[in-house]
Amino acid sequence: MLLIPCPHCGERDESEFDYGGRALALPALDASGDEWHQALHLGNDSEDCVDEYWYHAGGCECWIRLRRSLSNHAFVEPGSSTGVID
Amino acid sequence: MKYSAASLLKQALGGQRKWPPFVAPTILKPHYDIVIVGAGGHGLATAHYLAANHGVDDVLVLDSGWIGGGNTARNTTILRSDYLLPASFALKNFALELWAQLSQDLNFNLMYSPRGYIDLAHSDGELEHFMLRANAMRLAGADVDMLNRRQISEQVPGIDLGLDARYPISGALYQPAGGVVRHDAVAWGFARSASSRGIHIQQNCAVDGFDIQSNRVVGVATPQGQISADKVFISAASATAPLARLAGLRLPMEPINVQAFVTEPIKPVLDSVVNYNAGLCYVSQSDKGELVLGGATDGYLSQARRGSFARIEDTLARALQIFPFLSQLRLMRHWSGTADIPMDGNAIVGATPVDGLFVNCGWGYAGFKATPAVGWSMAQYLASGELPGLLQPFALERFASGALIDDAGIGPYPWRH
Amino acid sequence: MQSRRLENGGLIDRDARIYFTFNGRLLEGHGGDSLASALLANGVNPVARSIKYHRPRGILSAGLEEPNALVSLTLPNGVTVPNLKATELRLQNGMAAHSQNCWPSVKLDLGELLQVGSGLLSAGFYYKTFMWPPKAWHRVYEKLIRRIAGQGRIGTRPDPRSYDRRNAWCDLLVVGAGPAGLGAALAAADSGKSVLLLEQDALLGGSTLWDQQQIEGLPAARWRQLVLRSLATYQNVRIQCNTLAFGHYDHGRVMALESHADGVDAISWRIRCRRLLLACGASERPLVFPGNDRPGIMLAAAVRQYIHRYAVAPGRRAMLAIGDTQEREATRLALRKAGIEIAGELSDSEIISDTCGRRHLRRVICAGHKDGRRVIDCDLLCVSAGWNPNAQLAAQMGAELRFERGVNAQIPPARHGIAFSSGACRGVGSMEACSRDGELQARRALAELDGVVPDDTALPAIDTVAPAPGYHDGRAAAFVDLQNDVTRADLELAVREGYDHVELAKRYTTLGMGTDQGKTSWSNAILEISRITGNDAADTGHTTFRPPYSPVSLGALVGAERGARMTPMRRTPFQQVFEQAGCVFQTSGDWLYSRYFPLAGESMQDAIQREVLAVRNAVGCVDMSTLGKVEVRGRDALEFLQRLYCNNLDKLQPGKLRYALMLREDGILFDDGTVTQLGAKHYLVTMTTANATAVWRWMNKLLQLHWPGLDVQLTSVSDHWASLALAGPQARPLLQALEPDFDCAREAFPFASVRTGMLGQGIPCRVFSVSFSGELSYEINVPAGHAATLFTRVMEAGASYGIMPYGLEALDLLRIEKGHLSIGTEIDGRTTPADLGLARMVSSRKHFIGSSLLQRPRLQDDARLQLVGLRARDGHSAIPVAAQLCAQALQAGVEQPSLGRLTTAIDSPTLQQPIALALLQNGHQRLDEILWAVSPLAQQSTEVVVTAPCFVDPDGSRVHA
Repeated sequence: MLLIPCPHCGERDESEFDYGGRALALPALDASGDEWHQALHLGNDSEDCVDEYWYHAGGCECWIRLRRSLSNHAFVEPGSSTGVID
Repeated sequence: MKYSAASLLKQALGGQRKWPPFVAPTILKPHYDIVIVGAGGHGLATAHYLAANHGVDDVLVLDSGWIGGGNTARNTTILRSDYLLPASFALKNFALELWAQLSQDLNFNLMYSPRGYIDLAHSDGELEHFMLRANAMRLAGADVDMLNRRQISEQVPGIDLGLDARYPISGALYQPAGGVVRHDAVAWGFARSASSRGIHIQQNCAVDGFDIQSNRVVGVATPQGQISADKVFISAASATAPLARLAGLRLPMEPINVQAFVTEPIKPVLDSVVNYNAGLCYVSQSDKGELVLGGATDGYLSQARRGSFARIEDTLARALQIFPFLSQLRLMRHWSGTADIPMDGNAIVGATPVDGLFVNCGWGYAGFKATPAVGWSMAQYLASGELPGLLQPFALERFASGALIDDAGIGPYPWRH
Repeated sequence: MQSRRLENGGLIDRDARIYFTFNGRLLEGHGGDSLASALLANGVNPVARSIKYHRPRGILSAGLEEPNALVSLTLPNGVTVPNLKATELRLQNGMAAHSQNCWPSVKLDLGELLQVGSGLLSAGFYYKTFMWPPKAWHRVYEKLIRRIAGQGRIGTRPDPRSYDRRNAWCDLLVVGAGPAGLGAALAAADSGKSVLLLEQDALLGGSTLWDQQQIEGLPAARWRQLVLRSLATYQNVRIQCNTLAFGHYDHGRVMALESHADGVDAISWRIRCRRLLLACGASERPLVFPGNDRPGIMLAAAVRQYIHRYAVAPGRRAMLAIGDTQEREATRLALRKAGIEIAGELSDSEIISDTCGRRHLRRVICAGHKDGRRVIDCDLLCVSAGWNPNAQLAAQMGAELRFERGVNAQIPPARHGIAFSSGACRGVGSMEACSRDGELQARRALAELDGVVPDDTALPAIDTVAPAPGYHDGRAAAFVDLQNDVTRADLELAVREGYDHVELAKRYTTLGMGTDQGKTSWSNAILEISRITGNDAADTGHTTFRPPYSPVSLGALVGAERGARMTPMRRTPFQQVFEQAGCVFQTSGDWLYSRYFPLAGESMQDAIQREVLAVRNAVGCVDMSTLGKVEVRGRDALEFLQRLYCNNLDKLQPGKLRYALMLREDGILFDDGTVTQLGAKHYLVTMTTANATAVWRWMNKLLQLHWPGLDVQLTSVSDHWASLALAGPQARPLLQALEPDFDCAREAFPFASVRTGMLGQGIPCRVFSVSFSGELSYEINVPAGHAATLFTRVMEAGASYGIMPYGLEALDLLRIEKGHLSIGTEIDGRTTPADLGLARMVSSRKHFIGSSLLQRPRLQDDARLQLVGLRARDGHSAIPVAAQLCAQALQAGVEQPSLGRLTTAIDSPTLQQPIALALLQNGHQRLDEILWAVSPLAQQSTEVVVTAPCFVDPDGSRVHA
């Protein structure tokens, strides 16, 4: 069970959250189909740490953006690859 | 050496000393016609059929670890083809036809057991969905039936059909040809056959780069040296995306952890494979006696090959809905694998924008059952250059063109499939 | 009665006499006994038979590592609990235990005949045969093998035991109350931090319960007493026995299983800790030698435990085969205390080449002695090849184990992530060193929690004085995995055949895959494989460690959330009052839905028919409360909605509403609902029941993450409003009869608008003139608490109009007759608006979510499945449910391609004929075509005409009536 560091509520159990996937930026609504295809489908950059969205359904009901290692599930500081949020 | 009761007896009398290795040791050549990256079920099946069906044996299969050590070793061994969309059904149904003869074809007892697959429905609406599937399957020549509650209780003694269950069972789809097979044996069987036909298989040899010239792949780089090849076929499940990156490609899929677990072994108590659909749980009994269970994925990106215990609890809760008596049993072991799930939940198979580079991936947690069909079809493709009809729908371009194959209608959210 | 019970000593309660049965024989034991110690005390032998060769087996160990002594318990109600280890069961009065997997008895088991063919039954033999005839594996061989395989048996009777799931949180979780764990807990107690100490045994103390060493100048037992006394005085320290920590997961989550709790048979604990102190001890390693599996061959430390803790003499005449000198001495002392004669000791230059004794050890044969072959008559052989740290909990979270040559074992790092391993579970030897290690590690963990620099006092060194393993060779089978009957020869065969990677060897031979999870087999296996391959043991590696540490009850893992309590059931505000009206409910997703309202003696079909006709001809009322409802406010509210929905909303005005479609980012239809404008910058949107939560989250995601610049506030009001729709030609007079304070006349309150006000007797309301059924319809929303009142008033006022309540079934028939869309059938996560005939709703004048990717060529082409209606060509033949659409009727043995599939098929009450909706390839171009609706399941084909997907009132005049 992940312990998710909600910036509003503190560390809360995974069961309180809904997952929103990799943090993909949506292109402008009038952007081309190819831009949308690239943005929506091809975000997997095979890096170990990913930015992702979580929704704190059982708490502040906010969408948050966190960064996490896919190999060991440690939440890291946004933008870093090693700074573990402790 | 042929496997048979006779050879078993002869070898037993000789103290088992003359059994040859199931895969011949190899010395890597500098060039192969085809290099297959990934010695899992699909890659090894492709190798076997290249040799067996097409006489193509100048093939090398590489794996960064041990044979079949990825998802082939970790799945819940279920075989079935009851998928809604024709593309999904056709390939998996062809696989069922191949499974039926595969032990004999490979001279390796895969313990293929067509003991029946029962897909439970929890409402009349769901039942109607299953009937849709069943009718489509029947039209395509597959044997499938619907079971009412009485028939379910006859097939599965001990199942709880009480109307006070949280999601009472209203009926089921039944595929008699569905069942289980021994997963490790599949990898070993294909490997042994391919090896016996002269194909080289090298374990513990990772690919760490691709040699691409003028948009054509000409070889792979490994710690044991460069190997040139006319065609390179990556069939490495969740390792495929990072490998493809090395070749400059991005694949529209994400890695998600999926778990499975076994109970302690007991005498036979369940003869068919049962799937519960209000929140996922599938259960069967192995020949050793363990109940083998699995459910939905962990629901977030991961490559850790370990997951949250909460998912085990959820799956178990459903198992106990259908078999309340399971509470007397104990959980013996749970494990994980990484499911590579594309943006429509279905596999990506075929050519890439790089000439001579092919991929087979994105099978998520539904790939094992398709193993021989993927191997057969990809062998045909690699040998002849013509894309078999069964593989056409799974092309990488479909995300750009909109020809999605989304069996569950979930959308571009891999963690929900 | 207890022939082997020592007269004095032990930690048992001699006054408590406990009576139990084993294989039907009545036996006696004492309080504090395990089933194993009681069986030994009674001289019971053999206890079990091995799984493959059915060899007689006794008790090897005194703990969870036991591979042999598996028993089943029969509970008072006849329920059997299989595969329990005699060593893990606390003896209780009335316990009825019996051996498993043997017939007719454990003493005389016909399965022993399998040993005759043991040469054939080597590892992996089943992969090499059973292939002919082709279908025989499944039909014949497998059935036989399944009956022989499997350990115990379970029935399908309900389990009478009670279970629960509980949660705990602590700063420091200490696993194991042996010397290291107690040292750690004591050191942590003073800190004031919350400490939870778990011990899987019934008693605290670990090895101090049976071994006498000194700790801090005191005898171990005395030290233990003082520490426990001290710990009891601390409020911040909680201690739990009978609680096995079995799994270590992400971010400090540890799962534990408690047995023998008060009032509950088993409890699973979900624990979250900030730091984890592992003091799990070590398991003794047996020797691998020919004939090493006979009853009477026991681990040396287990022998000492049976003697000192349980006051049982496990034999009369013993031999020692123990490498470590201190262990040997301690064992000698124990044997002497128990009055067991010491018949001999294996010297360092000797090996064991065979043992004798069919049902029990009688004799050990040694080779290599200076006097040649030595034969020692004995009934107890105490073996020890060293200790394996119980490093599983650290390894489960990825700690790399390092093979330490000195101890021939895999050692975890002192620290990995939040886990601090201490004592014997990281290879530390003496009790004194273990307690010191626990103390130092605890201090380090606490220092981290306080954010201070930890004390860098060196930790005790690991004990590298381990005996060199002998290679005991001989002709008889030498077992490496006792439970799964895996021999040295099997491992040699595996390597010979190329299954030499440790994972391949495991799977090929099934070594370590039994219920003991290889605790007494894996380390020996690694040494054997290393010897056979010639590789360094450090390179041989090990398999992945997976939870649980020892098997845990499925019942406890699910707890009390069984049956209907698995997940919450959601009910609408009309639940009670509908029950009173005789409603039949059904489960649909999270919800309990009203399905139909039968009159006395009515069948479901008749009720639904009646309900549908009531709506078409008079008036009906239906619960619409489950729809999602969200209020959207703000300066940019309209802009937001324009981006969200694909149809243009710019003609909307206050008081008006529109049917609206929402697409996913990829252009596929996601949800349908309504957008109502309530005020200048105030809207209310509705979503389908199935997608209510998903759309709410989606709307929030867009605003919070992607368009934070928009000034929009969202409020979920799904649960605030109860909603009852009146539908039918008499809907308006009925609405008027409810005395609303606004004008309901046709011109004053037209279709697709909303009115807010009060119904008579002070019920606030919002009424939407919107229709799912296709009839004149008003959805009356009232605050949820008024639901019952509303329904009652509607039924009273509606009586003169012929009001009938209707449920989901009738609602579905009505919407099918109108060709209105439903989630899961037409909106199935694969269709676009154009597919469903709603291309005109996709605005070309704006961009919205999904607009771009919707233009992808394959989402636009005509060959797609498109929504059509179907009528039976002859006007009366039933259209089979779930049929496929084909060019020809069904013919036996003829496969034909499917042109499409039905989404629904009904016998229309309104039209009195069968109709259906279907998704047909290029359906929009095929109106009036004749096709066949084919159902191989029903062996039925019906000729159908393709029509527009609307059968009743295609002009939509009724809603404007």
